[in-house]
Amino acid sequence: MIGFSEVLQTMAAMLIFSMILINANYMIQRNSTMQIEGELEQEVISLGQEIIEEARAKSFDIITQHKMPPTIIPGGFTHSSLFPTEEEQELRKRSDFTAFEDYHNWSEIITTPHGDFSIGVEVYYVDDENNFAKVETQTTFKKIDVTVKSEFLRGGDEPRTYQLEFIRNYYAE
Amino acid sequence: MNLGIVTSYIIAGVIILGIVMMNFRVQNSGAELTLSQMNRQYVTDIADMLNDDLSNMGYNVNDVTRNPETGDIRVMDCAQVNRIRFFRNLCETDEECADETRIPERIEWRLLTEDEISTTNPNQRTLQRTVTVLDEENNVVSEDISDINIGVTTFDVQYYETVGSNTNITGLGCGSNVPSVRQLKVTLEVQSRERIAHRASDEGRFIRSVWEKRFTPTNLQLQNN
Repeated sequence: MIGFSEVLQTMAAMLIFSMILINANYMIQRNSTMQIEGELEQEVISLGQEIIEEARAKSFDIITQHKMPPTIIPGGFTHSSLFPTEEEQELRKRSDFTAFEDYHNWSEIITTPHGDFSIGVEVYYVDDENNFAKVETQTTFKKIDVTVKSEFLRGGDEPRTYQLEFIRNYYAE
Repeated sequence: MNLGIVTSYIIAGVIILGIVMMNFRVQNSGAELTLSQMNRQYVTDIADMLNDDLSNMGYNVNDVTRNPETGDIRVMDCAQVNRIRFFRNLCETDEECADETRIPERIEWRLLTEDEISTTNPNQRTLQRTVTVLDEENNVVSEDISDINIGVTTFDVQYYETVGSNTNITGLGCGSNVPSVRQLKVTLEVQSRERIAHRASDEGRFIRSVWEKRFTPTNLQLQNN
């Protein structure tokens, strides 16, 4: 019959080993998460940058495209109420966009070697004299917000939202 | 023989085996993370150079780069899958920037697909960046070649006729102007030199890091087809 002290020692050894194993598993899991998150976040930044660079390559406003500037600046620019709506964007393709504000309300799922990423864009006028706050009326500054999400980058139950921003100045063209 | 001691020895043996296995896994996980971070750093370094080079293609002092003989816009003159070549004229000093007669440099990025560079990872190739200074007759004045040997396995460039299009164009050559390209997508992959195995009997796998980005250089939008 096994002595009581040996049983106790064995149980204590297994308990200590179990704790070490749990810690080691947690560390391995953390390492894998960091590895995957780092790789995916790199893709998030690339996607955000590419949308911003693409929008920057377009005209500042549909009014200024291949034409002389409007006689009244900034009043002659397209009013924000005329920017594309979500319903209009559903019928358009990315390759149809010709001006900066064409990206407003645009959303798409982009497939990459790292999986699918959900992109959402908002374009609006900002006031340079009021800390670049969002305004409805025309100014010479437009801001683009690009949000990127991935099913594999989660903060709790929801996918984490990554936002990249860029402010464009009409006079810095 | 005391059955209690024998049982304890057996359990101790199992625990020691478990600790050895656990150490192996922890060590592998740490090595994998380290290699992965090294790869990502390599990718970031190359991506920084590409971001600077490709975004500024066609830039010239107060103008777009042009063919000195015809005066036409000449931004890119080579558009292949593993090779891209373009002109740009970036100045650093006030004196350089004031000199409107400066001749643009020709930048080439090319993956040397033929030559293996590593005995441990046969996929690794040299990524070469060449900066060439030409005279007005297109003769080479000087050439600065930088070989990047940090585990690049893929350098793939896709070219698009329309910004935002999903259909890339193929069959573009080298040596003449490529006026139809408006956007390009670069895919870069770096792999580790060594394999990481999850089991002692396993052959293992190379740790990889992939970077992909579409570039929309402003000066490509100024070209006529």
